Amino acid sequence: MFKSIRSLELRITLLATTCAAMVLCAVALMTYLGINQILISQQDRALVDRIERLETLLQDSRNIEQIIARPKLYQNMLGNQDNLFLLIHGDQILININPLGIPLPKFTLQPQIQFRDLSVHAYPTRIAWKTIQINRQPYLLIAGKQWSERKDIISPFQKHLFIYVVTGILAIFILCAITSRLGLNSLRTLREQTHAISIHKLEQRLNLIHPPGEIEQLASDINAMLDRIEIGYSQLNRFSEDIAHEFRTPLNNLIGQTEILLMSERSPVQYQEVMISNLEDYQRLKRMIDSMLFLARADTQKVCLNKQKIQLQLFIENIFSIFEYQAEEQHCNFVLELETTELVADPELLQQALYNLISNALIHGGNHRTIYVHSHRKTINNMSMIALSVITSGLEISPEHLSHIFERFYQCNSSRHNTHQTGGLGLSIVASIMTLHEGTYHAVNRAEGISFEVIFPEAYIEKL
Amino acid sequence: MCILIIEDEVKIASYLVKGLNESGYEAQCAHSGLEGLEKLKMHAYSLVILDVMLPDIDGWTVLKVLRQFSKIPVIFLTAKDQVIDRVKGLELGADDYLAKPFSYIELLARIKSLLRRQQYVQENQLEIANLKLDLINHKVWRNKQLIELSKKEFNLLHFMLRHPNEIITRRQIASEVWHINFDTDTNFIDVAVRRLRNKIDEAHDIKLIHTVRGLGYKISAEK
Repeated sequence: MFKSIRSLELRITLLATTCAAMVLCAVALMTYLGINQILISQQDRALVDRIERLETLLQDSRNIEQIIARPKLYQNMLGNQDNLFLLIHGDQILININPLGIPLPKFTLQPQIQFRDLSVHAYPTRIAWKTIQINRQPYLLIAGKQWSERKDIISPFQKHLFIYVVTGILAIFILCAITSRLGLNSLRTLREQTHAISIHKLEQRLNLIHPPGEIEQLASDINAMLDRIEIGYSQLNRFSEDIAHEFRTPLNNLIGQTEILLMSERSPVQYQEVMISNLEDYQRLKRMIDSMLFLARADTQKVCLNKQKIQLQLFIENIFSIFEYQAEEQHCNFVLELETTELVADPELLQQALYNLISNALIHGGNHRTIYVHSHRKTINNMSMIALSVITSGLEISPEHLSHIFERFYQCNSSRHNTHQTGGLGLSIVASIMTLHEGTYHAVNRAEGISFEVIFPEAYIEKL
Repeated sequence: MCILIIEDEVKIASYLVKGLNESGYEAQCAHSGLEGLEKLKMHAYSLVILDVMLPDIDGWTVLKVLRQFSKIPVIFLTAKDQVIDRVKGLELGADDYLAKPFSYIELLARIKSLLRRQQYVQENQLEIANLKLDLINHKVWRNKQLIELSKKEFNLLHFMLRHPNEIITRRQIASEVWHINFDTDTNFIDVAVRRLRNKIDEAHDIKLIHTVRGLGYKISAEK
């Protein structure tokens, strides 16, 4: 029962029907009251007419004498069984037409016509009375009409009105039910289509034919959400697959080498060789696990930032010193150009981000490159930011790779052979570090060469 | 010197005992927090290695109770290397911290540094065989011959000389000389050591810097 009341279709129908019923009832009531009022005033006018007619008749003194002499004539003249007419002079009732014997109250002298309802009686009656002066004598004129006359007109009308209202409400209910069913049809289709989308059919999209504006909006929002989920899900899928693959390589080495070693007696030196090789693979596994753990924590914002003001000159020179010898061997050199000298960030994470970027520049750039590290202020969306760019001269990355380059395990050359220690996670760690700092990152080809830019919000300085 | 290891993983506890014995320490282990506390009350140990995840009472509680009656140095081990854990441990009075999986060499280095912390005196001149390092003038001599070293090479040699005859891992060098505390590909350390070696060892019969394969380096006058 509750479930059916919660149905939107039923709710709309009930609500619309209730509103319409209220309006219908109000209109019917007002019509009834209006008609009733018209009948009452018609009745009153008839009473007034009667009194006024008799009043003119009585102004002639001859007439009054005749009336007093022959009251029956007048009674017959008026004839009508239901009518009431009295002419009273002092204690003397000159004309007494009251066939139903309706008891009358005491009347005061009133020069104007007065009205009154006598409803306690078995035959409710409306009366009008007036005191008229004939020969300076007060005469009381009373005329009355039974309610039944009005009732005979109003009660069938009332009955009809009631039937009309009930039929109307019923019709509105049925029409509302049909309309809301038709109107909400696209919502039902939306539900059915949404229900059909499963993890195996993530590429499916909602497709409604001529939906109402609101539902079209909802459907396109759901479709946009599905796009995001699909991308996220396929990335996650690829990520798990890549992880499994990356794990498999060192594990393969470990299993294979150890098995071969154990197949026959070996010299201590041979055992030592394999142990050392194993240790290298263990360390590689550990590094991968650490990186993945970092990425997972960064995704759920579980990394606490230890924000500090960093003097970039010394900080970056120290990172350069790590690569000093490698750069020398590759005939590469570093250039540091600082437009802004301070930055607020987590030093360890900033160090790791820059380490990864410069290490990539040396590994992928090869020999005879200049690696620029450049800092400058820029405004993005009215926010003041500090950008650090690592630019490798003369190197370019084709645009189809650029949009994917920060993805986990993404490698520009599709062969998975990965001799470098970053294991395809270096740039995605940079991306996570920037997300943690509420900053942004991107890679662009510039005239000088490929530029990896990490951008920190400057507002950090004020927050500190 | 006796070290107590409170660790419920039997495999870890037993290899630690074995390793520490080989490194010249006496070591015992307890497999639960209560057992550990019991032993700490009964015997005088020089140092405790404490795992945070224990079956009965956790490492934090052990540390709290322990601090009520002893100031013995404590290194705690945890599977979670979150900053919060580290801060919590140090606030409770632990002296050092290692996240699992840890390198045994590093643990050994931390134990050594904790045990000698009291008697460690900064020396102005460090020596091994005929190699001399002068900290005040930033100069290095081998066999009375002045050797020109870059700043980082000097720092590297200084770090090695502070730990003579000890194995030093690449990670330790990265942290000490370049202040890098995340895991990196450590090729640059091999290059730096090779350069340093060229400068101080090449012209001499007695080599001082030795590679310990798979583990790291060692500075020693003996082969």
